[in-house]
Amino acid sequence: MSAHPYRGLPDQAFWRRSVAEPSRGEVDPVVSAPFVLTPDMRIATAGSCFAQHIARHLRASGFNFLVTETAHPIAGAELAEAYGYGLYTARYGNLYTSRQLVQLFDRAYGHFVPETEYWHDKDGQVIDPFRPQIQPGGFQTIEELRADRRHHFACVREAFETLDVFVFTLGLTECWTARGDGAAYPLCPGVAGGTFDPAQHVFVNLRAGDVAADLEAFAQRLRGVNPKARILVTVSPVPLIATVTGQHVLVATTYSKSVLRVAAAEAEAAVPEITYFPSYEIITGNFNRGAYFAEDCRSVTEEGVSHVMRVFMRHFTTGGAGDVAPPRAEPVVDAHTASIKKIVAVVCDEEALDRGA
Amino acid sequence: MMRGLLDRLPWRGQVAPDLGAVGAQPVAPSLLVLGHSHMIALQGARDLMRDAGGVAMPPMSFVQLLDADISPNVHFDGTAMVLVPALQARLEQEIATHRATCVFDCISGNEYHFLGLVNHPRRFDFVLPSAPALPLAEGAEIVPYALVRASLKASMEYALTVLACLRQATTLPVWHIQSPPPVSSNDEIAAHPTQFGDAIAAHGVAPPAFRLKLWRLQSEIVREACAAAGIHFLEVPAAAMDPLGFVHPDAWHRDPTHANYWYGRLVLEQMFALARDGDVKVEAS
Repeated sequence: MSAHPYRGLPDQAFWRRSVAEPSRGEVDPVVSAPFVLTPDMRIATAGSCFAQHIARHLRASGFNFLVTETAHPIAGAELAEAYGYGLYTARYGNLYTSRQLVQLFDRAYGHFVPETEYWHDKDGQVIDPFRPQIQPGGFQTIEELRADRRHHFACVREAFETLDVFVFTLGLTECWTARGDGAAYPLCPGVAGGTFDPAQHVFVNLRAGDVAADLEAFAQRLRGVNPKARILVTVSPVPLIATVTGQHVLVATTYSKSVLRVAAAEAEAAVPEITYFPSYEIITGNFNRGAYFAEDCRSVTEEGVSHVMRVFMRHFTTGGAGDVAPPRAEPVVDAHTASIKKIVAVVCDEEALDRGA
Repeated sequence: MMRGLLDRLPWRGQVAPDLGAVGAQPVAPSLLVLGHSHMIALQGARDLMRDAGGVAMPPMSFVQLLDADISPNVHFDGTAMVLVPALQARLEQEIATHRATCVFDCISGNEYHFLGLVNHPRRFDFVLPSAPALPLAEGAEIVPYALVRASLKASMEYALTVLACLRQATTLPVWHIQSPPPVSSNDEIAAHPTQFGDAIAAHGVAPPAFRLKLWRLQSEIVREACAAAGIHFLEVPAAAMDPLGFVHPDAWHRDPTHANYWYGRLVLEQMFALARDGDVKVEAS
């Protein structure tokens, strides 16, 4: 037999050996990792909701999941989670698009001030257009929103400037933007606050070049404040919940995910500090015969997430505790408030005892 | 003890409110008061008024909810939260013995101090929607109002449960007595810190506006709970507050968390008038 480029290639190059034959949980599409995470490295996360799974597992595995915007200790764990604390590194909510990511950076550093500062919901509460679901019930006043946003931006800057690795999950290409200044919203105005106005709001379906350019622009900005930072890009396997393109949502999903996947590859090729991690392939690959999607064919099962994180841990980490079942958030104990509560109880008892004496 | 309290009893030498002789009317008012530590100011004031003489008062009986045999005040009976049997029996006994015509309660009322008497090591403040002009502490982290409210309400769960159970335990009208507002002076609190001395030394007294906001927020939560349960809400007498809404300096008790008998007397006058003819303001405007 004559020699040719395929002869002698490792198993990973062949579908039968690396996809069809291994058991479902053993398929591993990562060839090599350009860097490894150690428990002391600060890992920040952002992106679509799939990124929350990554954060949970990193924390559960003993890695240093960086959270710069924590809930005040007076809030317990349940309240903190309801208010979007700890789901990502800062309380920015879901960043579905690359455009949101770039603009988050620019807004945090004061380089971009969107014309629309706030929305109102149907009850008149104040809504942050860029985090419309971060605050159950909305903000009470515009000043409260402004104060919270100042704090939020400080936490975002701290995250960008101190992280070692930034894990970003690309979720969507379809987005709604302000016609005037291009501000990208995570949700269409009118869905969770604000009022949809065709004169002010315009639909954008990002193309591969747009997303790649956004990623490269973000990497350049991040490098400016944190030269050692690495960026790990993933593509969310979660299909679109809806499309306004006029296409069937299945077709629109294929287009969006294809764009994101191409853009991730383009950015990885162009920017040394960007690395692509194939969580998308693990979840959507036909080797698992749809087992990693729930009944709605959209939600990712815990088995699928575990497979992703197992592969991630195998190639990108060293020194952690290994992947374990993600626990519920640690209860937040506010020792100060608890101690004051005890004193109040003592003072009240003494007041009553004094009377009874 | 209080500073020259007897000298400052404004009703001394004055004509007592005409409450009507007990038994002279078809249904003479008789007040049953249940409460925790804030009830002490009312009991003390009642005793002083009685000892001073010249004041006609309706019969009053008091149940101290901190008493060991009825505390905790509520339990789960397998179906719902209810007053513990000993308290339910005591309530029924007091009503029968004293022919009570109405019930007042001073349930709890100090939870807001948990969050705000002493500065939290992670200083915070919040915007109170009903009083957005109240200043924010400089340099403090601004915590979302809704989160502060939820945290405070969680701290009040026991008190709100006792309140609701009390409403279910009697058919008599029930009035909840609003807890005293905070002391305006940080110097006064620091000078008489009681058990808070170490905490105040370590962290300092929280800003007055912050403490006032927390008290108002607590009152809003209780007011809502009262409305939902069918309980009247008896506001702090206007004369017991300073122009900014803090407790009047004459009501300071050398205790950061309670008011004195002078304050209690003003509340009693409201209660007497209310029991007599219901002509005092009992609901928030």
